[in-house]
Amino acid sequence: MTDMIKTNDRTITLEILRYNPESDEAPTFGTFEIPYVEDWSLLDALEYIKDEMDSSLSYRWSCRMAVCGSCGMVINGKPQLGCETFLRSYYPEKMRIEPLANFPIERDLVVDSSDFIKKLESVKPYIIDAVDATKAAPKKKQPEKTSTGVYKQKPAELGLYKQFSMCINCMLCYSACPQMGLNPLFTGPAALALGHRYNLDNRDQGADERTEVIQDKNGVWSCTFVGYCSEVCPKNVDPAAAINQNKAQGAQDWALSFLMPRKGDK
Amino acid sequence: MSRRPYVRPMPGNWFMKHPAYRFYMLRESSCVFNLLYCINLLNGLFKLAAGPDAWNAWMTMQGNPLMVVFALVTLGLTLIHTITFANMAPRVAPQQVRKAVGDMPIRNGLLGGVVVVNIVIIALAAMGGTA
Amino acid sequence: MQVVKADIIVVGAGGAGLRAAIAAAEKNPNLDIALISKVYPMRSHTVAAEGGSAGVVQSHDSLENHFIDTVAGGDWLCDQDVVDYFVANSTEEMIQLEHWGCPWSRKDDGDVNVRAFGGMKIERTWFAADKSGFHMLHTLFQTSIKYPNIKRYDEFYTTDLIIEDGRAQGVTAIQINSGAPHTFLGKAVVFATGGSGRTFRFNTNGAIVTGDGHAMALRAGATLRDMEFVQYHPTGLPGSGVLMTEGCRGEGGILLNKDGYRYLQDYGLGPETPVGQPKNKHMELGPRDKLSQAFWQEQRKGRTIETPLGDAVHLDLRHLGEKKLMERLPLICSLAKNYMGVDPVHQPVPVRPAVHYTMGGIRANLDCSTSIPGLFAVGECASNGMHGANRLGSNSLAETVVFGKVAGESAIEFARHATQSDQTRLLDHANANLDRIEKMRNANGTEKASHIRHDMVKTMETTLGIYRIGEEMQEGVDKITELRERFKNVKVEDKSKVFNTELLQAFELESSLTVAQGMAIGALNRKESRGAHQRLDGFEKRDDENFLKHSLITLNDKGEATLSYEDVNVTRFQPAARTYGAAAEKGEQK
Repeated sequence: MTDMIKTNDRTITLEILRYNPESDEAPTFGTFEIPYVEDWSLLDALEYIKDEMDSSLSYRWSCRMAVCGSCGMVINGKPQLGCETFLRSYYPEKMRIEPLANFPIERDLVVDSSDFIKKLESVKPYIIDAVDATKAAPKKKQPEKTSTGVYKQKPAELGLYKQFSMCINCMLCYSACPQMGLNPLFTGPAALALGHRYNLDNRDQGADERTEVIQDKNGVWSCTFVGYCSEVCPKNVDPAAAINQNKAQGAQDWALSFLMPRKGDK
Repeated sequence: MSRRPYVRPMPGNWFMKHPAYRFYMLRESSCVFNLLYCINLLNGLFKLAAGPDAWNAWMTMQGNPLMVVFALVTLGLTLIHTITFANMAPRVAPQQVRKAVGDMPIRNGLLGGVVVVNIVIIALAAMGGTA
Repeated sequence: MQVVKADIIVVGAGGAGLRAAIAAAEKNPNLDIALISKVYPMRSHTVAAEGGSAGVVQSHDSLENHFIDTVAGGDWLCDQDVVDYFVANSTEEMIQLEHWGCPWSRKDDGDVNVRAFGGMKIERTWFAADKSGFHMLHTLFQTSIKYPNIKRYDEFYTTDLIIEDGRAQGVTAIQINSGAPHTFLGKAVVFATGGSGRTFRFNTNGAIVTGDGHAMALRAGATLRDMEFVQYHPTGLPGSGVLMTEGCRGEGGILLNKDGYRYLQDYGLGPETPVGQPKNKHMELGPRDKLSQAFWQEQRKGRTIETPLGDAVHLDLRHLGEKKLMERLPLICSLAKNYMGVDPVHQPVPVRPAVHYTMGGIRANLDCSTSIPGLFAVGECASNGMHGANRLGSNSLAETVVFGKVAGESAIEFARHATQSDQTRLLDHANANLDRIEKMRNANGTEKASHIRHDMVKTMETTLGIYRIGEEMQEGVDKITELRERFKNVKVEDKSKVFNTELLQAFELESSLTVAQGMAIGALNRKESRGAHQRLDGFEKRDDENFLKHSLITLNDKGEATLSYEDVNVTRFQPAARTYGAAAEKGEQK
């Protein structure tokens, strides 16, 4: 790490929102002037600060390759992954780093994500098959099995839900969503997209069991389609699409419930 | 317990804090202008029923520079709303449809529809004007 | 101190830990399972696995083929009963994952698709594009939510085992967000704590892969085995070490030196196969150890490519075309663009070997039991003898689920017969462990942990690389011993409780140093070349007479690492010359 620093005296300034609950009343910005290394990601820079300047700096990180979802932070106002953000995109301007918005700050760049996890769990993000689906008779036909023993799923059927299965739970979409800030009970983009992912899977029979959460006023109906969640998503999941497809579906079911009480009865 | 998670307040003017939010508010504000413009048109309809004097006064008022600006702003916002609506529409379409048709046909179909409807209305208006 | 009581305690919530917890929950819905992880489960390093997971499916393939590939790939240091069990059960586990929703890539008829992988004779690697580990982990995590008796303790850092009456009966841990010490008491403990690749500087591993489980088990009296076998993956990105999956080569990617020459043909992997027509066990589909060694040789001959981030060779994927790359290797394309500024559709990707996997680990049996009753080990942290001296790509994801299930069920079975010792005695042990936490937090020496870490990773890289020399390894052993001494005088500057990552890093470094020492001692004393352990100082050949043996590391009364050996379980496949390419075909014809 340190031996990657070439012998020049170029530096870059990082302003980092600091908060230590044991000593600070409220968060304040701390400023760090660090060597500018062209190849460094923001994670490399934070590691340099922690190793050489201030060992108390707290942040989450692991894989360094944009797949574990640990290092979401707000960089110059935009929610991004620290590992995918490079100093060279900002140099010589300074960078301003804050924890994800719309979450309580645990410490420094670490937010309390327990509520997010609860919301993920609330959409029943697992295959519910005909045997498990208790509330209603299966609406979909269970796919047949292949000679290998797996359920048949053609590439087009896989393609239907694939994008919604790409979410790395980095929570950038929650940080991007103003409705999340206005209504903390909102289930939120990633969790709703995950529910949608299972609803679209031809192996799953659990759509009815997820309706209660998805169609709740704190479910898709808390969304006003600002659309910024999909813009910041590092994996092109497009959670806004997942939510708004469910609104359209919900509205249709609601209308049908007047026309054909039995069919629309959910 | 040493934990003391800090909850940042949501500022009242949150919608001014970010370009994405500002654009969102701009997009949504089109409905206010459209509502006002509809009231204006409705008013015109009443004036038309009330006789030529009232109608002419209403027509004159439409030529007022302020009213022209108002009409232009409404038109601009309506165009923004139309385009953003078309851009977002594929994402509201059922996933099956979206995957089968693709985003561009849905978007272009909607925009094409808007153009056709406008041409028809303008044509009718023009024919009505000459008749 | 908060005390949590459970029946089974699983430490680590990656692929193996989650699978163990699910197996236990399904086996007995009335038992409480505490699933402890230092990160949220989906951050576990299983997430970064790209290529896929092996399980025989094709009619012209057989379990015997998979067995032979694995044992020969491991240079005969594999436990052959374990490999037999593994190949016989991995397909079933892949199907189980499918039933749980894993989005495996499919063929047009809706059946599952498999791809070629290094060292595998027939295509048998199940894949979900190039995010197989990601999808497996998320499928397992999401499925685990279904079971109410799995109680997760996310972001709890486990510091030590509680051993009483000669059995593992719990662990102590720090709740990271509050700093509050916790004691977990149970009848059986499963370790699924992952590998220790972060002991090396240049690696494909996440920050969390620090060998915590290895060190805890060793301190508690367990045995580490075959620690000298550290896998270099041949294709990491220069600088960052970010992984370019073996699936790149499985799909037909080729490796070129600075002259644009496919150099692997010079290292017993030829003859050259036509571009775009990969042939199993030839050229780019050779095993990882051989490919990494070929890079080293090319570098020495001055035929690698100089880049600002160090020497590299080219991974050329251009002939696959944009459509196939987007379908099969989308993550690779975006990683290459983001981290190297190279678009694989139009340019070859510079790559070089990087430390990837720890073949060795906590010595475990076929049922995942260890030398400490009540302690089970599974996944990368375990050495059940699956991988021998060199792991084949796509065998480790499969291992996590095949043996994850075994570990969960073994733990349940053990817990059924076990009774918990007197609680006051257990809590006495716990308190001693908790004192260690406070001692670490208040460590007020003069050494900076981060600097010791920098020295450690550099030492491991220079003295325990792809090729090894006795003198250098001795230097490594001495240096790691010195660093362990320095660590005794460490200073933890941050004394706070909430999310004190400096404290956790100090614990992690302590673990890594323990593991590093085991690796260095094991390597120095293995006077032969086998699999990932290759020497250049007169021990260039495999020596079955003296070293067809597992190395074992234990701690003696004084806490010093001691080395011994045990025989390898060879059942029916006797050691032979390990060949690939044309030489292997010749051997088969005989």
